Amino acid sequence: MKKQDFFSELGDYLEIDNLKESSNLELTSMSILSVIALVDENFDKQLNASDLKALKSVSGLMNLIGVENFAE
Amino acid sequence: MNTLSFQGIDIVAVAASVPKTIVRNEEFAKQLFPDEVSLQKTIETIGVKERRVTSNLICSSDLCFAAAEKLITECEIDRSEIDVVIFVSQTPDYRIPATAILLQNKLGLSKQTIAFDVNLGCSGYVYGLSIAYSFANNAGVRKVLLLVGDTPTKFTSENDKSSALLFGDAGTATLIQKTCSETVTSFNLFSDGGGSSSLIIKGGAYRNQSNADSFTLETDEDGNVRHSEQLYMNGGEIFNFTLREVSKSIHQLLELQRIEIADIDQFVFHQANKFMIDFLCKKIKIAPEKFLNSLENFGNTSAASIPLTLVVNRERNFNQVMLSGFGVGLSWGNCCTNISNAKILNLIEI
Repeated sequence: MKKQDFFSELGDYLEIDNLKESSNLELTSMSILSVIALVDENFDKQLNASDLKALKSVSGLMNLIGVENFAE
Repeated sequence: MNTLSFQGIDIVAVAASVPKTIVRNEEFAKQLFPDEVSLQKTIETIGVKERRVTSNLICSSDLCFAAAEKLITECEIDRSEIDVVIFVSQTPDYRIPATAILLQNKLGLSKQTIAFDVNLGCSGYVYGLSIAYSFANNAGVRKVLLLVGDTPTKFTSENDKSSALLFGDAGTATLIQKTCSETVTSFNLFSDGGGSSSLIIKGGAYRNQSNADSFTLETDEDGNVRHSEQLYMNGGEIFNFTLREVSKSIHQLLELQRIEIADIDQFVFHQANKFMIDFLCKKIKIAPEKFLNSLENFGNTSAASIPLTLVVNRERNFNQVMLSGFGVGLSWGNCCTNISNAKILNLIEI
């Protein structure tokens, strides 16, 4: 998935504008559900809820998904 | 072997009851969510606008009793023909004795009745049906009364954002018997105790017995306040489990029945929350008109949610249905059957 498409889709799911790789990201219980859904749908992968809870940034989320899944 | 198959045994009637008291989440949660936008977003995500809540005077068994009396009366069931009573719940009247035995007496059933409880939540209706069908499959058993009810509002903290707006109370009764119909009913059932900590009440039973500290309120990292005898729910892990296991298990049962998604007329899932079941429907590719729900006005009623959803949607013409229960345990199971001849009675309030 192209990075820009991912930022845009993540922003839509979380209702946050202008997300980028360096953006801070702290997920609530509700937004964790959204991210699990997004990742399942787009990467056919399931992320541990406690890992998502500990996230601090968009780049951290990309690392959990696997950087090999993203293109410029 | 986790699959069971039966022919010539059917659900003949379903009834449900709910408490009269309605709690509207918009008003109930004003203090818990001082930010109006956040409250509306939460209500929209979980899909629960209002819920039915019991007083301290009403137990799950009372709701099931009311549903059973309605079913027995309206369907003119001879009480002496009810050979088995199964009560599925996580909110029994007492720790001992089993509530099913109290209900045998209260319903005026014979002392020859087989009566016992099953401690299951979200998967409880499907498991209960599988047990009822197994009994009904025996020559000596005429009718099985399956009573499935829960009052989760009694064990949920009002100050826990993850669960306070979600749960409602309900009780149901389902009658199962041999009909000599051509209907084939299949079940597949699963368990994963490795996920038990995702949805749990840790205190109050025998691993962690009640003591002076049991009701000390603790605040978790999300600001949710609860004591050890109230429900803890990790919504993210439950969602992961649902995505990982439920869709796969439904496809397995369809293969066993040699039918396809398109052959199912109605899907009735445990009413976990709107976000979760909408996503599950999308993943399984279920047409929205085939999916039934009762979340908006009744919330997640635990084990009772599947039969309550049938009752709330009784105007629909039910045919081939897929019933799917999943959650606490972790425990999950599916039942594929045809209920076109079942009497689905109107909802009662007590």
